[in-house]
Amino acid sequence: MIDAVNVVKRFDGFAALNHFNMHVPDGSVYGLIGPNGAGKSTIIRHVTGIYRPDSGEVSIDGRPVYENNDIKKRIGYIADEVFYFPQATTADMARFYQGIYPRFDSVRFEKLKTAFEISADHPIRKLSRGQQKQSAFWTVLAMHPEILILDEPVDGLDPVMRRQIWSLLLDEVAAEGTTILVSSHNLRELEDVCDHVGIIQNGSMMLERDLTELQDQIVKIQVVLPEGADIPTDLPLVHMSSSGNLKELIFRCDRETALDRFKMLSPTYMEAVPLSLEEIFIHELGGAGYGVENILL
Amino acid sequence: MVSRTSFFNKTIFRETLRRYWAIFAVYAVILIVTIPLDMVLINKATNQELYFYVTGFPIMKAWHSGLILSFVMAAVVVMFLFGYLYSGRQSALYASLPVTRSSLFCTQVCAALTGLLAADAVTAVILLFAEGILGYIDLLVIVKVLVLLILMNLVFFGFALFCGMLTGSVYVMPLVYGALSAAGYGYSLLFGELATKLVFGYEFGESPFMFLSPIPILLRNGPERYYPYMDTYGPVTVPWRTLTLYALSGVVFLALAWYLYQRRRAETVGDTVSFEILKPLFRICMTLGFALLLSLGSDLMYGFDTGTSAVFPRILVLTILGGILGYYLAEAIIRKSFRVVSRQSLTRCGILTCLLAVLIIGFQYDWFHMARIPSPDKIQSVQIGYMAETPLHGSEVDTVSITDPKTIELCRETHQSILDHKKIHRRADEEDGHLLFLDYVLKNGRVLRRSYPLNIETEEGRADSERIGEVINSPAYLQSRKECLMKLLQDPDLTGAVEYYIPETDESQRYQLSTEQLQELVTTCIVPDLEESTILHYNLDSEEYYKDVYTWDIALSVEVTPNSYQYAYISVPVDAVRCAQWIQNNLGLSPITITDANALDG
Repeated sequence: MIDAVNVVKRFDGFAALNHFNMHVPDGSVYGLIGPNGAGKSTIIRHVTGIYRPDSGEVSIDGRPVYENNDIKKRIGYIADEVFYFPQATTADMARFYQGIYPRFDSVRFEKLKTAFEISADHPIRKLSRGQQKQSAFWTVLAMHPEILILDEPVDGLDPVMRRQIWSLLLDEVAAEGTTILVSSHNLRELEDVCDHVGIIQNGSMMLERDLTELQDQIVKIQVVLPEGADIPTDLPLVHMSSSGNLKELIFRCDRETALDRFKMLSPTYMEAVPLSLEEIFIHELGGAGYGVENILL
Repeated sequence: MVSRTSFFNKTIFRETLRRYWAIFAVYAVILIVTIPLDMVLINKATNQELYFYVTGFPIMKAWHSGLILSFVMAAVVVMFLFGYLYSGRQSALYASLPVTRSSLFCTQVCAALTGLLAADAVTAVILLFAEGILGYIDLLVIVKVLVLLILMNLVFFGFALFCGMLTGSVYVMPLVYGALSAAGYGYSLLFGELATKLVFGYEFGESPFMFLSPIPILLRNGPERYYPYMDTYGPVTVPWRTLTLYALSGVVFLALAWYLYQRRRAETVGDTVSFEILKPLFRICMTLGFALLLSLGSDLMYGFDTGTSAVFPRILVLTILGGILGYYLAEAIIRKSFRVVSRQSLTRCGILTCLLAVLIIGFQYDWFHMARIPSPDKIQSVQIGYMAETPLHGSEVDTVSITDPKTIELCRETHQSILDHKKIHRRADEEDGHLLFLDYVLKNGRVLRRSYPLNIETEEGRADSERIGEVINSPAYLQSRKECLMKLLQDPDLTGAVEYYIPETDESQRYQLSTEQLQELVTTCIVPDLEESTILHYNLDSEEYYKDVYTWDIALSVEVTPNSYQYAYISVPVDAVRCAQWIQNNLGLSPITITDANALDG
């Protein structure tokens, strides 16, 4: 469990994190979403032990991260700007990490060669931004990290490589129970992969939710009702729109309850449609109040 | 619980050396070219005495070249090996590794020292080969060179790393290192120069902070012994104590750097000042530094006219302007923006420039009592020295210490008279070379040092010169001078020469006395003439005096401390029959008085 409790961090008087709280469950894929400058990278740098909080605590499994080698050995980190030594190749970086991270697996590193489109012996600085990201994923995945922290991880990758990277990451989660904390300024990018999300704005956590719970509590029904039938008032309606006879209704209740209630009205057509993460935030949480408009593209 | 780990990480050590070995290789090559190769080439080219080249040359070269090279290399090594501290990306890479800051620091210090010491060791091995080529192997010299280079590396690397911790900018790091290394010297130079310009007669002397500048101190206390009167070098002796003390200070700075490294925050990358607590100090230093630079720099433009009344207002205005410029430059550097004017910054800048103005006005009107004449009850002794131009050549009165209360009082009165004629003497042409030196040694151990240029072109100036003549020919002064000379003459390391003027060619010559000649001159002539007080008087501005003094000076010197000499100049009057006779007989010089020579010279 990654915990950030009441974390404050100021840069020249400016509060980049202001009593920030975050709780990332073990084995989850946690999406940290917020507009540019919200404090995503700052909290990630606390979780990776780069920054020391001015106050509050950042811990993993109850132990502070800063200057804690035992904890940091378990973390694989890919920054928004990829780290590498100036003249290094991917193989050089792998050799370096092998000496630092005890779980680094050179066999896995060799196996992963096929997953990426780059040569291990090519200087990283000569690679494109997307290829540099691939190089970083390659070495980090070979570490067998228990916790993967990714700051804007797929920025600069083409769609095919994005899909491939996410596939590798999700395999990792499935196989090893890896916890992933991933930041993005784009809600849509994370909706397919995250099971938990946190929305950060102005250095504070606006909300954090288990997506399954969230999705269980809200449902979108597309329905064509017979002439004269009214929308049931006993269901908590969040949003309604219509196109001809087809009505699109969002209720704050579970899927089965909504469907059972509508079946009683003998609808001409009825279907429960999954809500996008974006719709959930807009309709469930009231949207603008949480600054959601800034994280939708 | 934070885990306990070792202070060394071999992967980082190996990686650091693998990435930066070229720096140490370049250092080794420069050392090899400078010390062993130069030794062989110069010896082959000049066929100098082999013994000196093998025993003295490498140590002297290692001292001088090694000093500058170690100074530069320390900055280079810190800028490269600890360069990640100045790059946001690299800094984050290292900070995210499962390696504690202590371990990272110690590992990289080990890597840096390994590289530097390996280069030193390679140089020592090549030096052994060089000695072999010359056919004279002295292992002790090689060990000395090696230890010397290692100690120098410690001196500067520790300090450079400490400076490297104070800033987050790779461009600022060498500036901080250079500025702090020169701080002691710079303070003496700038502050002393300012005080000397504004406070009439004030002599800054040696700053108590001079030790903070190791390069001038170590260069001054080098291993070579040069005897100016013999124009030759003596045996090479390394001032190990001074060097070891500086090396220990280097280790202390390493420890301080370690402390700062652990407290340094990763987010300060790119900041000129890494620690919040140091920012006010940075502002003050920039304000003071620019104020002094601008005010004294103006002298370069206006030509050092200390005597004019424009000096004070010009220095005041430029100091204030320099202070304002320095303050806002510091503010802009800290904030990384030119939007620096605010109520708070105006207040701070106002306070600092007011303090600077008080300092300058205080100097001018002697608020700090820097020009004062100490009261008699506080004076233990007074040392008086005088430099003047005789009609033919420069002359100098030996600096003699007097304790006689009556003579001290006479000295104080003369001093007061000079101060009363401050406006006249300030216009003195320093080329005339009339300078009075007064050192008051106080009972509390302090020394008040003064020097006054004297304007003898005016009636008041000549009166002051006559007063000085009274002091330096007073019985107490002459007795004291006699005692000083007697003590000097008994020194076994005494060296001597006769300086003389040749009217025919209008030039001065110098004859270096051999040990035997000096011994004979001292025992048979100088001491008896001193006993009869025939060679003690001075009267530097009197034709009456010059017509009875030959154009010869006996110049004596003794090395008191390494590279620090005590000198004595003895003019030879016609009364000093023994000395005059000895010089005529042994050097074949014709006896001619200054007045006669002056007449011949036209």
